[in-house]
Amino acid sequence: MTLSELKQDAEAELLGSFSNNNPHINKVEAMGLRSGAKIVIRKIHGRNIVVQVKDLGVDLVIDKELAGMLEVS
Amino acid sequence: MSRITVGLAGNPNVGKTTILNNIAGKNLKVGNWAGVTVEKAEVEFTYNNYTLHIIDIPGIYNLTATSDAEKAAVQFLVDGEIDVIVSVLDSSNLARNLLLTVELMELEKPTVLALNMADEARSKGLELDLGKLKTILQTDACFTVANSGEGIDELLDKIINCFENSHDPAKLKYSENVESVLTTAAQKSGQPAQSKYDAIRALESSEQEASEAERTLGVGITKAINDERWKLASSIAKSVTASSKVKEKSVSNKLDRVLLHPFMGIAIYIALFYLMFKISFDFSAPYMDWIDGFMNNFLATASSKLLITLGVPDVVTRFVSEAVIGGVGFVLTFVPLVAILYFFITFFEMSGYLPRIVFMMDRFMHRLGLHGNMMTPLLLGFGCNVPAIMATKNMSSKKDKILVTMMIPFMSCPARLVVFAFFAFIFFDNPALVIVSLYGIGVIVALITALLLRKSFLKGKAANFLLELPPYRLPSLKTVSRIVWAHVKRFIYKAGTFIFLVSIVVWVLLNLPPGIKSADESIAARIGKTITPVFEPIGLSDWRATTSLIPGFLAREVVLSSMGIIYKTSTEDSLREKADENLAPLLKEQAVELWESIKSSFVSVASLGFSTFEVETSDEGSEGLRETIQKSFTASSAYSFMILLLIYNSCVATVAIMIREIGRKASFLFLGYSFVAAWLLAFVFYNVSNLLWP
Ligand SMILES: Nc1nc2c(ncn2[C@@H]2O[C@H](COP(=O)(O)OP(=O)(O)OP(=O)(O)O)[C@@H](O)[C@H]2O)c(=O)[nH]1
Ligand SMILES: [Mg+2]
Repeated sequence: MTLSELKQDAEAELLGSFSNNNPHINKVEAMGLRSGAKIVIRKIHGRNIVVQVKDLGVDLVIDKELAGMLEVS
Repeated sequence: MSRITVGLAGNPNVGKTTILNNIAGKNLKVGNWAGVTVEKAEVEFTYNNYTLHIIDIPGIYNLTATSDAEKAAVQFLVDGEIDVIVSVLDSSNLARNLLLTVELMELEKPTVLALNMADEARSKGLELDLGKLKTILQTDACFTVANSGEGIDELLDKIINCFENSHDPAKLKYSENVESVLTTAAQKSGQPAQSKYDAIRALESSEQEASEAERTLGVGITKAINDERWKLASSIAKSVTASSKVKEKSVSNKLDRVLLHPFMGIAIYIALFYLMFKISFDFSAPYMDWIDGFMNNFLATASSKLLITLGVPDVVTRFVSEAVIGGVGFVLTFVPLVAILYFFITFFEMSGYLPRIVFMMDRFMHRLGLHGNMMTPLLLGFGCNVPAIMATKNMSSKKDKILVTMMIPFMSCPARLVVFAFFAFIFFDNPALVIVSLYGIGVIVALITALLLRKSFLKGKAANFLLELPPYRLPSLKTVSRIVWAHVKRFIYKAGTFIFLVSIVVWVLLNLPPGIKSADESIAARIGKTITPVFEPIGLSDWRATTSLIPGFLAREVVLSSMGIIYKTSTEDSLREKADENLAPLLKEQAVELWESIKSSFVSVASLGFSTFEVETSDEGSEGLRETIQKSFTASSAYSFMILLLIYNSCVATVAIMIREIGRKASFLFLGYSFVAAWLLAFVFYNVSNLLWP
């Protein structure tokens, strides 16, 4: 399952990304969305998702296309 | 004396610029969102016998850049001449921030850690073991609170110390597998790498080596290294974090529930925007009224009296009264409005609300083929178009950058607002509504322009959207006041320099050729009359209005000073009468009026009504400036005049920065486009409103 398929308030753990060497995904990971991160979907708004990385306390907005490249449990 | 070049590096929004401002007493732009600083800024100062040359670098998440701002930052960190890197971290979010620190340490340059936002870490209940951190990374570190200055001196001492003992910077060790892959690759290439960073880049860029490494490691080299960095960063974070009773971000979460709500969020935003103008006007109107009265009733009289008593030639006395007080003084009348508006803008930028609006707007923008990343520069445009255009350096697509740069000039700035305020106050009953309508027209024109460009020269699809939402922060009154004061100072400085110079030129042209009986025969009038036919269809048939427009093409506020001079000079005032006035009662009157203004500013904010500038008729029969201008325009021609100023990109500073960012050709094409668009729109509004309200 990918991050883009999660519903509002869903909690999950990130497993990794489907992309290899996409600079945007590299950035997503450097922002804290990387394998092992426990996340919660705080809001879905149009094409965007507000994800909270629980262990970091960081809130990120990511569009569904990018989110579709991230695998979650 | 040794000179130390220091680079401040770190994630966006961790307080790098705040640290620099605190160290050097500067006022560089700060704000509570990611990507405020877009180009490096340098300051130099002396500390304990050292010259510190400190460079603020745009925020980055890693050393793989996607935008112009990030590219410049990474290039400077990798290739620039830096003696000491200060890795600035957000103490309350150590794991994520250490990831970049680890990558920076691959550069193997002398590094010091500044654990900023120590106050927030404390209030979250985090306890960090600094000693352990220093031991693990073999680098010096200290806590800082950039806002208050806590730890800043200690940081400076550590920088100097690091510089003096920089012979052998710390080297990171990754897992054995990765280290041996790196060593093997370096041996094969025959040239020893300068640093771990170089070794990794060399390996990544050699296809053969990279695939060999992948066979050994089981994953791609980039991913393997990223995993190593993350493992190291999170394990360090874990081992230095002593306390576990971390508090939830409950306030931010609660606020977001409302402010990020699809409908409520937008409604609140619009309401706040309107309220900002309403309060700005209501609160500042009495003060502006007072300053205007003070300038014209007291200062003009006092200065004329003084100059006449001193026996100064009449022409000088007239110059002071007409050009200095009438022109520059007129612009200064608006200082209260500018100050209170910047107060709101600063509060908005420091609170963390801005990225939330960017997020809310992405949905709407996306429908138009645009995207939310474009919103930050556009919103900044309401504060000033120049830094807004600079902020396009954060965009990763060149086409998008040009597109946004061509939208920004339609975002109305405080310089336009002062002109609008003047007209709105004297021609309309609800000035705030008129202003909001103008801002709205600007936004609509920007969107239409973007759509036209998307369909023609700048085809493309909406880019990906990625944004960090920072926690809400309540800025201190001290910080906000300091920033507001810097804006106000700039406004006053501009009035005293640039606007003053233009005022001289305008005044001289109004009084040439020598011996003319009225300004109507002056060179300025002749120039104005020549261009009047162009503006007649949009309701501007008075040469005084069109003449004011010409210098106004340099900067919008200049329209006001020019109008002040032109309208004042063309309505002759008797100077001699002023010499006989008694100043003491006048001064007393001013004091009483100031008190009245203070009272009414608070009363009008508390009430729901609108304050307007009162158009006073003076007793002696000579008309006041507002009254003269009121006779020269109708409500619809005033509105059309405002549209022209709103839409036409008449600001040399904006044009200059556009040329720098998107080139000469595109900038001048845009200038032409904005003029035509402004004229057409004004034409439509003027004629339609005349039909509807004849
Ligand atoms: N509570 C607290 N807030 C801080 C501290 N330092 C900075 N801030 C606030 O954090 C926000 C970001 O500060 P900046 O200095 O603009 O951050 P920056 O690292 O330069 O950000 P970019 O230019 O976007 O990379 C501002 O709202 C500051 O007022 C601190 O030590 N404590
Ligand atoms: Mg900054």
